[in-house]
Order: sequence, then structure tokens, then C-alpha cells
Amino acid sequence: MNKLIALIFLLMCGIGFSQSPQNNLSGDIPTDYIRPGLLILHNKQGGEFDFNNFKFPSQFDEIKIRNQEFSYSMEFDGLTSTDIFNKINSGEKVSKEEREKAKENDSLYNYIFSKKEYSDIISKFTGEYMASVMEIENGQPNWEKLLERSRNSLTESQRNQLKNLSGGSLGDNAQNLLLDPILDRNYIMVITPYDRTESEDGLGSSVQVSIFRVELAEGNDIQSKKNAFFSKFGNNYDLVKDSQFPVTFLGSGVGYASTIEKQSIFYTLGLSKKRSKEIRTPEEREFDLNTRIIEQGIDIGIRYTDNWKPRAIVQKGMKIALGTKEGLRKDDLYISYERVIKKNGEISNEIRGYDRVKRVGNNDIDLTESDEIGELSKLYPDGGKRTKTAYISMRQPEVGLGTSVFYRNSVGFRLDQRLRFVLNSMIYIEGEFLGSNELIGGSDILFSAGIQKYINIGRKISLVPFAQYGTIFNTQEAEDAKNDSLEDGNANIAGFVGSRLAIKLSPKIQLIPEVSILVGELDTSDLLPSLKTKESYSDRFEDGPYFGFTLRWNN
Amino acid sequence: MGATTISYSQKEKKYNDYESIYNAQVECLGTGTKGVFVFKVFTTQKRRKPDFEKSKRAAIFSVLFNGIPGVPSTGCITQPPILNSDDFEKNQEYFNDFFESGKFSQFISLADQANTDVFKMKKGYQIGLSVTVRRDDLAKKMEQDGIRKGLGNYF
Repeated sequence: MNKLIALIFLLMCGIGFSQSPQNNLSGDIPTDYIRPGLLILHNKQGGEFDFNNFKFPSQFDEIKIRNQEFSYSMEFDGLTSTDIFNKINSGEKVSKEEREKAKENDSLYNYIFSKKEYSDIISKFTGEYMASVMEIENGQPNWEKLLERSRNSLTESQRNQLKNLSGGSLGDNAQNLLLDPILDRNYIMVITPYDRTESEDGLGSSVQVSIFRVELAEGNDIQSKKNAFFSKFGNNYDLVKDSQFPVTFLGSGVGYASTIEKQSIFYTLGLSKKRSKEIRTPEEREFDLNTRIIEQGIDIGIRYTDNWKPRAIVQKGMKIALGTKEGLRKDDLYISYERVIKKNGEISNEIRGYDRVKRVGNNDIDLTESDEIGELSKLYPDGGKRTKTAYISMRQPEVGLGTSVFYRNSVGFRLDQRLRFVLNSMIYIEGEFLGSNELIGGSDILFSAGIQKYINIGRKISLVPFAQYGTIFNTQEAEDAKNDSLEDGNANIAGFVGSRLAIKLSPKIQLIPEVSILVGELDTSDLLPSLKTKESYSDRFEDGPYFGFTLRWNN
Repeated sequence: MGATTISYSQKEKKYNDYESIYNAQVECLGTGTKGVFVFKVFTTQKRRKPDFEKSKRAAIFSVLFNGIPGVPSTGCITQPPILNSDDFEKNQEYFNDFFESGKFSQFISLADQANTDVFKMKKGYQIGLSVTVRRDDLAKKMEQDGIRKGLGNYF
């Protein structure tokens, strides 16, 4: 049982708060995705972490400054910051008194952020941030280096403009254009990991993490940002480094990140003694944990900030001009929006199709000098209405976890996780409650692990072949074994293959009838001269075929 | 019946006809060297699938007869129209040929068809196409063809 719990843990690995995705796209948004600049700061109050060692998320332009660490511990009504984080993480509501203190904001986090000293600490990094963004050297922006940076930031359409306007050289207009993606979207994310725990075998770690996000904002639009910047520093760029720029609080959240040693599902289920192919070095484990901490921050942030969500106009054949440069992954969810001009002239973005990334295009090329066009990525339909050319397709973060209640021969519960490296496929674990055991008491439960692949037939229906394998477990037997330190009794193994038909009632809910047959069954009581304590699956329900149905909720 | 058809097809469009068909909003995105302008031309079309030729004609028609509004933030200074409606009426045959035969398209160096904006309206669609137009070359062509009087004509 513990191993099954470990498998669930593995599935949940790296998943933070499973908040519902927000569809907050509104107004006449620019269709171009401009890779935002991002500085990651580490508040060391929760313990020492080596944050030089992680994979920076490719959808952002990495901003580096000399020192990206600070330590700030705050106290609130006698609570230490760790107490506060724990309090929030436990889901405890803030008190009325605390809310009153928070004034305009209604969460303790917002209150903490609103404390002047905390914003001041973050603001202190903004001067170096802007000096880094502008590549200021010897009192002047280094345009060559800015051009280099633009190779990461320019979109295809901006590249087209740049090439047309400058004729290949970097004229005034091109310089102006070049500044747009660099000055437009700049963010700081403060990561505070705390309460780190190590697994018993010493090969895994987990950590709570709190995230604060701010945007560097001076002026509402790019032109006012540029005006404000150049009017202040146009004569002496050396002042930038020691200046402070205003920051706007975007949001905060708490999450959970972990790293565990990769091990086979068979080992996890107790079906194999072979644990793992190779054991990672401590440095590799640290790298993995840090990367997952950063991913947690991005996952939380991307839910609430549209500018963090890669987006593009849908081109012919459901292709989009995004790819490796924007960190696309197979099976990422993209929602397409149709822009509608209302009677009063307002523009609204109506949700249409739910699509996923089928093929990730390599667009990591020099966009300023090369005539080569980056490869487009291709989407495949996965729900909603038809996605048409010229809709805006935008990344929608999701947990990738499905929860199901099913009935085969009895009721059961299933948890699935999207694989990503095999298109539209999931691994899952399930428990089918077979009923009470009259011989030894307790309940028999068939715990299985399986794999299923969605073969989409249009947007609304998918054929889902699957295969699974599991053992029958008895609650009383497990309790006895635990108390007496005895081994579990006979195992009784059951394997199924079959097919499901997923009917997508909505992007979130699926009704899934299924048919399956028993293909591999091992009744260990037949092999051993012991008392048969558990009925095999076929003893209870005959050989099949079995018909059932599932109600699945897509997270 | 055949004669009627020929007669209809040869009917020359007047300025008002063009104005109603190629009426467009223009938003300047930037300027380049030698009178090159990048702007987005918004036209109203019946179908969702953009008629790019119509958008391109509308772009050239706007440069010729409406001008390009300035947008200081993008470095665009207001460009007056190259011609006026009288020039069209005097050279109706020329412009019918210019627009219908596709000669206009040589002054468009780029049309970003892949990133076309499509907005659904109550009736029809608004299509926004980003085009790069060589305005100075277009003006020169009008002078060479005797449609526009350049400074040289006054001396």
C-alpha cells in the first residue's frame, strides 16, 4: 500500500496547488507573444539553496544580475515568516483582524507584500535589472548586445518589420522597434523555499515554496515606458544601475516541489525487486529540485498573468508560430479565441477550440539576420468548437491530472496523469472496490496501474485503448500484516486490456463507456498449498468481457 | 445576352465605386528608408477567409487617395494623399487597369498574410493585414505616367 501511495506521490510530483485555470483573456490583446524578461530572486529565509543550479524556463528572457539572493524574515503578530507560510499553506483563513490590517487586500500574503520594507527590498534590485536589460556599458546601451538579446525576444512579425525598416542595418527606427520587446514586459519572481524534507532513503527531497511576483512598470503602455525611461536617463545611462524603478504587485502563491529517484512502476507496485537503472548524484538531485521549484513559480504565475502565456495567431493547418524558443511541450493545452467586435465597438475574445501541441517546431534561430523562418508548431483538436485560421491560440496551464469514478464490476476510483512524451497518453492507477471478504474480513480492493492512449475521433469523441495490471489487496490482511509484521497473503494478480470511448461532455468532463477482458490472471492460492483467503477476479466476476463506464474530470 | 455581359464587364468603375469597395482604416506601424511604410490596413469583408487582394488594393488606394495618418510613437509622420479624386476621374481607364491588372501589387513589398487579424462583426468580418508599401516609388510611378504633376512640371 505504501508503494501505491508512493506512486500517487510520483504522479503528483511537482504539482502545486491545483487551482482551476483562469480564462482571463480580455480586450483587444496584442496577438504577438513577446518573451517576457524575468529575474528570479531567492529569499533565503527558508534555508540555503543553491539557485545557480537550475534550468531557466525557456519561455522567458533570462535577466541576470550580480547578486540574486537576499534574506528577509518578517514577523507578524508574533508569528515568524515560516509560521505564516505554514499557516497559509494549511489553508487556514486569515482572521478578521488580520484582514483589517491588510486594508485593501484580503489575504495575509498581500498584507505581507504591502509591507513597505518588502517592496523596498525588491525595488532595490530593479536598477541592476534595467541596466542588465539595456546592456548598459560605459554609460551607453550596447546595441550589439541588445541585438543579440532581441534574437530571443523578437517575434516573427516584429522580425519582418525590422528587416523591412532597417534594410539589414540597425537604424533609428529599428532601434526603436528593438526596444519594444525588451522594455515592454519585465518581471521579478521571488522564490522562497522552506520546510525542506528528505525522503527516508535519502534519494528524494521535497520543499514548500512561496512565490511573489511583481512587474516593473513605469507607464501603462510601451511608449510611455520608453518616454519615462529616456527622459530620465537619456543623458546619463550610468544612473540606471543605482536607480530604483516602481514595481507593481501581480500576485503570490504557495506550492510544493519534490524530486524522487526514478524507479520502475513495477518496483513501485511491488512486482519487481529492481529499483532503478541508475542513482543520481546529489548535484543532479539538487538541480532537479531547484528546477521544479522554478516550474512551480511559473505554473502559479502563468495562471494569472496573460503576458506569461505564449500565444499566436492560428495559421493554416492549425499551426502556430511558437516553438522551442517559447518552451512548448507536446500535449500542452492551447485554447483558441475568436475576436468579436461588439455593437458598442468593444472587442471581446470568445473561447472556441481546445487544442493540444502535436509537434513542437524548432524556432530557436537567429531572427534578425537569417532569412530562415522558424518552424511552426502544430496543434491537434481536443475539445470545444472548431479552431479556425486567424483565431488567437493561447497556452492554458493545467495540472494534467484526471480523476475518475468508474464502474466495471464494482465501483472504483482512478487517477491519471498525462505522459507528454507519448502524445495524448496517460498512465493511471486505480482501485476497484470488490466488496467484503467473508473469510478473513475487511474489503478486497483491486489496485492496478495502467496506460491508455486517446485516439481522437474529432473533437468530441476519442477511442481509448488501454492495458492495466494489478493485485488484489485486502484491508484486514494488510492490517494484520502491519501489526504482526507478517507478509501479505496470496497476491491474486489480474490484468486487463480493452477499449474506452471518451465522450467529451465539456472540456472538463468526459463520460467514458468501456469494454475489457481479463488477459492475465495469477491466482497464487492455486500455486501454494495454503488456504485461499481471497477470491480471484474471475472467481467473482467470471472471465468477461466486462462492460463499464467512467466519469472523468479533467484537471 | 452575350453583348450585355461584355458591356457589363467593360463598365469602368468610378471613384465612388472604388471608395466604397476599398474603404479602409489605416494604422501606421513604422517607417523605413526611401519612403517605405509599414501599416496595417483594416477592411470589412463578408467572408471569414480573408480576401488578401482586396486588402492590398485597399492599402494602395488609401496611400493614393486618402493618405497615411501619422502615429508619433512609431515614427510615422502624416503622409498626405498622393492624388485626389479628380485625378482618378480624369484617368478612370488608367486606374481600372492599374487595380484590375495587378500592377498595384508591385508597390507592396511584403504582406504578412500569416498573421492576419480577423475580427467577427455583427455582419461580416474586419480583416487587418500588415503591408509594407513603397510610397515614394508609387508617387514616382504616378508622375512618370503623367497622373501626378511633379515639381518638374511647373518649371
